[in-house]
Amino acid sequence: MFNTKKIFSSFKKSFLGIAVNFPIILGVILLLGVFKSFINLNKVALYFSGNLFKDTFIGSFLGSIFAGNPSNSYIIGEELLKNDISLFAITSFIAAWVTVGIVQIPAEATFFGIKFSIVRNIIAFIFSIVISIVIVLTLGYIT
Amino acid sequence: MKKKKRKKLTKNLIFLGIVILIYITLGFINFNKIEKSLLVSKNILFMVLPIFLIVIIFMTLINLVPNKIIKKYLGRDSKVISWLMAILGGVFSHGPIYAWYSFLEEMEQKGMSKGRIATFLYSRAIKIPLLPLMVSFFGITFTFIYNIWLFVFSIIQGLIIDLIFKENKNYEDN
Repeated sequence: MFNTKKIFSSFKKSFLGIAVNFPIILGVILLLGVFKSFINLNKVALYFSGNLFKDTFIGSFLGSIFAGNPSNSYIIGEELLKNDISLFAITSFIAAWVTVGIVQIPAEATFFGIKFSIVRNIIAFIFSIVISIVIVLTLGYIT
Repeated sequence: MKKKKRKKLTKNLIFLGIVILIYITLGFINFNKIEKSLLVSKNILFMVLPIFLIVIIFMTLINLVPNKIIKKYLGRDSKVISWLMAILGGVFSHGPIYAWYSFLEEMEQKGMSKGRIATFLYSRAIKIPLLPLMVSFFGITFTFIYNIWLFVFSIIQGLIIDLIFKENKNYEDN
């Protein structure tokens, strides 16, 4: 029923695929390490100005360069909310955090091509702003 | 190892070399922070390693599926269900995204469209295990609306990417 030879050959191909790509993954992990120890996430609120449009853009921008577990973006988002930062800015921040990955671009480009990774990240960046507007408007409409 | 793979490995090693150079340079500026960076990286690496096992299993299974089936269900001309499959893949792919790049690359070589890949990557923003945490921070209404819009925008992004990357590759059937 099972073709053992085919399964083994498929496993070998997959393992080799991961092994070839491991240096780039390790590179991204090392970059994330630098990022996490050099950037102070607790001071994010200082980057916001109080201007609605500017803050939404800043939110997307910061979310794009920050990386790591999304739960961190929720914690920072809640802190921003307490600091009276607009919901547009907070939403764009948490959306960009999970959809745009500037640190991962070199790795993404190696796998799918530089054009794809740049175009995808630019669209995701724009969408993080659009999505913040749409979400806040929907919230306003419902509540 | 095939010539194409060897070329890719060389490129990847060059990237890793550049990152190591960055570490050495920053080490001269602030050694303590670089030490901390290495510790953080080590923790991330140990967190990611088990995910590679899952990815290898998925890749092994996908390699056994004929290309024409992948192309039929996840290719450019596939139906609505393909978007749902890409979204479900993104939502349920655990761990950091870079751990799944090899799997997606394999899928692309087998016929998955770039648009579906973009949708997969975007829909990873929908984090089901983190929903309770999000609700506790922002409330149930916000969480619900946020995730519904992420779902919608993941399809829109996929459609745009498919429009931009129109070229059709000829995939060999295995």
